[in-house]
Amino acid sequence: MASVIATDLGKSFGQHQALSHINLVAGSGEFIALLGPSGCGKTTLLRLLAGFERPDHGSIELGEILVAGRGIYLPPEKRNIGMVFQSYALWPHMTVAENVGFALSVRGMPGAERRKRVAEALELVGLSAYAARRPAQLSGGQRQRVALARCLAMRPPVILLDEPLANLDAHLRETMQHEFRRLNRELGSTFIYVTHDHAEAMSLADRVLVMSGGEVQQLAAPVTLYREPATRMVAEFIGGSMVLPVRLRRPLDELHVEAEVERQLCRLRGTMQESEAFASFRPKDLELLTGTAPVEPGTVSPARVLDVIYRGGSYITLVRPESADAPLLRIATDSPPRIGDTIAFRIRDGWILPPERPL
Amino acid sequence: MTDPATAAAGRRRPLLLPRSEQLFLCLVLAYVAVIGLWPLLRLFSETFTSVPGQPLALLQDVWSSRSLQRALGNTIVASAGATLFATVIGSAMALVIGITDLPGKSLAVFVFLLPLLIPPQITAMAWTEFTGSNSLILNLLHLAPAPGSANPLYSGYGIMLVMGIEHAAIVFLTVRASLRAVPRDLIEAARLAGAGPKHITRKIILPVLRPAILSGAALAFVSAIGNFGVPALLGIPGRYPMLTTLIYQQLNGFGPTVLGSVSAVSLLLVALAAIGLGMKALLAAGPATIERGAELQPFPLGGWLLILLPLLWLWLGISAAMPLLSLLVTSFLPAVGVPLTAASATLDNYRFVLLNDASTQRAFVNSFALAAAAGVVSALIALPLGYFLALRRSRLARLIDLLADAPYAVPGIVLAIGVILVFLPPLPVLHVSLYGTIWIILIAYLARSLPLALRPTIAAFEQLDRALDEAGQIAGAGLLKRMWRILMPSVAPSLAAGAILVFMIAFTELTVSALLWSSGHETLGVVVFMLHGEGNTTGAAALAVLMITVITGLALVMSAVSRWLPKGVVPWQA
Amino acid sequence: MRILLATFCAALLSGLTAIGSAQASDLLVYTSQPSDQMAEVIKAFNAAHPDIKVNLFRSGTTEVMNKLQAEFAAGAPQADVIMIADVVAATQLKKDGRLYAYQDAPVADLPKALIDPDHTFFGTKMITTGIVYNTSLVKTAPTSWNDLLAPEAAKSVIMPSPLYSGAAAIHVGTVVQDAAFGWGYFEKLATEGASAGKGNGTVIDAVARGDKAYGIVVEYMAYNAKAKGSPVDFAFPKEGASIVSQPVAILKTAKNLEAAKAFVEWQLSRAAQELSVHQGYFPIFSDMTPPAGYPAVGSLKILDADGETLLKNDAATKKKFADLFGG
Repeated sequence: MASVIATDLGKSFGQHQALSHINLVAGSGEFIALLGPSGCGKTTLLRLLAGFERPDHGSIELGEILVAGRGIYLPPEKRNIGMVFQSYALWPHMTVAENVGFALSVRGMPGAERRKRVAEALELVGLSAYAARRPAQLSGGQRQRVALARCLAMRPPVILLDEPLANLDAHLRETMQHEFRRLNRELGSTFIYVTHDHAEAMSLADRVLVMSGGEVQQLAAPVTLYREPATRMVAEFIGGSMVLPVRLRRPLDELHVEAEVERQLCRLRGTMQESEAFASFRPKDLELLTGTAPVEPGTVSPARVLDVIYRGGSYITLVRPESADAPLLRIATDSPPRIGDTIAFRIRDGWILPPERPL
Repeated sequence: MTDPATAAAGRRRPLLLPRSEQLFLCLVLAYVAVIGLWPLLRLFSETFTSVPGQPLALLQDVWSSRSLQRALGNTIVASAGATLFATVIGSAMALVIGITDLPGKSLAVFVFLLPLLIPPQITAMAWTEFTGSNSLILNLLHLAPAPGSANPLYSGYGIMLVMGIEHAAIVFLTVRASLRAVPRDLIEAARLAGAGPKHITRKIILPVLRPAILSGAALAFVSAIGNFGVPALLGIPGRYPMLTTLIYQQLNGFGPTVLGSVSAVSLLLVALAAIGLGMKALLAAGPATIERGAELQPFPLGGWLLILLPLLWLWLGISAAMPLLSLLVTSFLPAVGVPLTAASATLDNYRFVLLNDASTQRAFVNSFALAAAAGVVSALIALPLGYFLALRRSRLARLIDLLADAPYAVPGIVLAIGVILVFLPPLPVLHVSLYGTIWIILIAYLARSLPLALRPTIAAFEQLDRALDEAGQIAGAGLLKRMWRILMPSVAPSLAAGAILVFMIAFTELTVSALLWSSGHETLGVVVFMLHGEGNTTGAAALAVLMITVITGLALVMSAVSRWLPKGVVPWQA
Repeated sequence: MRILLATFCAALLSGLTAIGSAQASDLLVYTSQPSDQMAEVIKAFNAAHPDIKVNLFRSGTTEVMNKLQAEFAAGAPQADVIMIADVVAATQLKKDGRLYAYQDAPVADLPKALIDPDHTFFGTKMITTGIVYNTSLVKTAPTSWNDLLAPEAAKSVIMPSPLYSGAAAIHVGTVVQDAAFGWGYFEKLATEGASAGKGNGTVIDAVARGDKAYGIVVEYMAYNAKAKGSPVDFAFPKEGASIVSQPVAILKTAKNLEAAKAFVEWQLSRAAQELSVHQGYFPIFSDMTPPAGYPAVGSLKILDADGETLLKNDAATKKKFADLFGG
């Protein structure tokens, strides 16, 4: 059963079109990340799902229930979803146990059963010993977990998370990421997770919805996003690809096309289209040649080394190709050249970007 | 970081409210309309219907009269002067308290805020005692004016002085609250850039405070034009008529036949107030500090302490302590004009007021109950209204806010007459008239109390993380439940502050009570005024001293428990 | 915390209801006589009529009239009896048909001048308006109204305003009617710098305090202040003093007519007049002894005033006074 269905959602604030033509189907128990730069609309989408905003057009179904659209609007308190806020939003005048049990007391759950559920939730996040404390007495990471426990106590089918790890330090972030994956699998709740950090999205999600300018760029599994980005924005946003203009020559087989890039011929993944196209390349798709062995013309391109950056175990060499207005390229290398040297590089792999969708 | 575009948009755009919440707001609207608007509209309809067929005839007649134009000119001049004075003094005090490490802040602020607690006519009374040729203190200092010469306070300048001191407290509170919200980082960034305290104050703190200063000035102006007690005691003997005393005189001299022209004058006052409030909305809407950082550290004064501290206490002594002392002296005199000596001092006035006068004893009880009720009810109404205004940005709430300010801007006398006209006939379903009961006084108090309770509540909600309310929604709690379990506890300190402010004003209030009280339902302000009007100045002084003692006692109690209250609840807690 | 708040609210509500619950009022009197004096009056009245509970609204005459007029306008007058300073207001009420004609009132021994021919209102006092002066500032007592016109004196004169005080309205109206004075008297005072306060209370206050040297005020306030030790004394000008009779009247709409009549009768009795003397007023019976230090009633010179004329010119008088003295 699909857990969340958003159909053709649109939302504007005054002149600013925050979302348009958003479609999303999330299966029960799936972990979906909403990824994009600031202002892309991912938080607006989350708030539409929660019910804090009403869509201008389109509809939202949670479970089998239509909660927004076609004249219907169900306020947040009736949607039975959980949400972890970026600021955690713990009520300062209540203890941890009262915070976690609030939703249950609102629903009129009798005291004994409520206490049991609260204890279970706290145990799930490892904070059983802190039940009587107040939020002000907890660290950031602990507050984060209380916010999570507050969701879990309700046992909702859908949990929304609004950049929950943004305020934590890197080490704590990693620990919490494990926690989220674990809970998602154990509880079977659908997680919708907003983040601007692509590494986080890739490591956590089953599928990622990449957004930019209020529109969907691509909805796919992380591997697909990484290897076969649908648009230039996705390519550049994830993994820091470089996008170069290419001239497509002829298809080589079902999956590959011969192309001319930076005055060399190479084999790229993708399908044949118009001869003028763009392709995305990762640093490891390029190979640095330092030897003096002679090479055939048309198989390598010359470039000048501008900088060498150590990445802990390997290097990134920043080069400027000699062709006019070529962008700076980053090449992954194990043994770095000297700055100022002239080198040659070969393109080993790349992905042809699908043609831009007409707006 | 929450998506900035959404955050900014969310703060700008009003959210559409579900039907149940709209209903709730409509109830609040009904409350404001019945209590405040209806009496005013009824009164103003008198203006336009008094000459049948010529709605504007009366307005033209009244507005072109010489006495009105003189009163109008005086009102504008005196109020502007008082406002200027109040703004300078109030802001300076807020700065001194807020950014320096002056010792004894709590006491200084308490003394500074005393004029808020003391009704205007008592303040005026105290000042006339202080500056008269009879003044004990001035005579000791050989500064007293010659006997038989006019009291220097009976003039436009006297009015400006006393009103300015009275309203400086309002400006102080507004600016101080804004100063509290200035985060430490702003100052620290400036210090890193090499700026010294004076530079920081001038270039950073004052600009950030500008909206609050202007807002405080606007409030002081509106208070000044509607002030009755000071012009009544100082302006009438000084032949300096102002709009409020003009209304009072016309009513007194010509009776309710002039209700129409009285309301024509009131329209003018309302127009002035509207200009003042409008300017406040325009000028005072500055960039609100959305970031909430730690509170700023005070600057050390160093050598300046030796100059500033005595100066401060000299000012406080003159502006607050001396008049009160004069009042105290008068309360022990057998009659006015008798010099105070060991032999002449008497407790007769206190005996009369406490033991022999049943009306005073009743007045204590009445005023206490009325003021407490007004405080609690206003706070309870301010809670949802502030919520809808600040967190939900509802347009309907903003309309209600504007309407709620109306009865506050209109002078109390005018409101009282409107209330009488509306509530004298029996109520529709209950067939009981509220006139002559204590409830009619409560209604008039409530009409004027809501803005007082609303300001601190809105400020608290603006500082509240909206996510706290949204988390409550996610947890499934409807509006009422969230109001009771989440919102009220979160803003409780500000609600309490608003309620206490309302209490303190209502407890000693005069202008509205003067027309609405009836046998058995006297209020303290009325009793003082009456005693003074009957020639029993010493009795009035004794009662005034007792009232001030009660208020001061309450204030001290609040100070004692302020340790357990969050910052900002107790206005003079530095 | 919330429980505390709820309890507090409940207590407050019940307290207010208790206070606000309609007090069974036997007799409601509106008056402008000072409240401490009225306390004594009610006590003495109850000595003769212990079963009648008297409730009071006390304020300046014009404020009392305002309240009455507002009640008339809304169609629900509350008072049973009124006792206000001046005959002008009473005449107005009579003309409006608001007063009850008490034909059987015991007026046999009373001076005719104090009784309305139609028996709708009856004077209860003889309050005179004269000159009070501060004894530290003034060495020679004034003897004539014209003494106040001297430039040195005029700027230190304070008088009550007819816009606030019924007695002042009578006084100004009376003086203006007198050919020897007319409006010229007040115009001169105004130009020379005299000021007008509010009611008589502010006048005695200012003179006793020493802010002003002379005041035009009702005699009992001056004598009472003097008795308490204020440095003031009172002079009856040789041309005569104006009279305020403080009429008592029953409203046609009185709810308790019998009690109202009893109150009026008592006010016109010797017992009431003895109390008045004790309070510093002249008695209305010429054979009664006035308060100590007061001249005999028979020796008083009174400035004549025609009630109808006073009423006719009332509004104009107040307006002109307001214009002269700055409103």
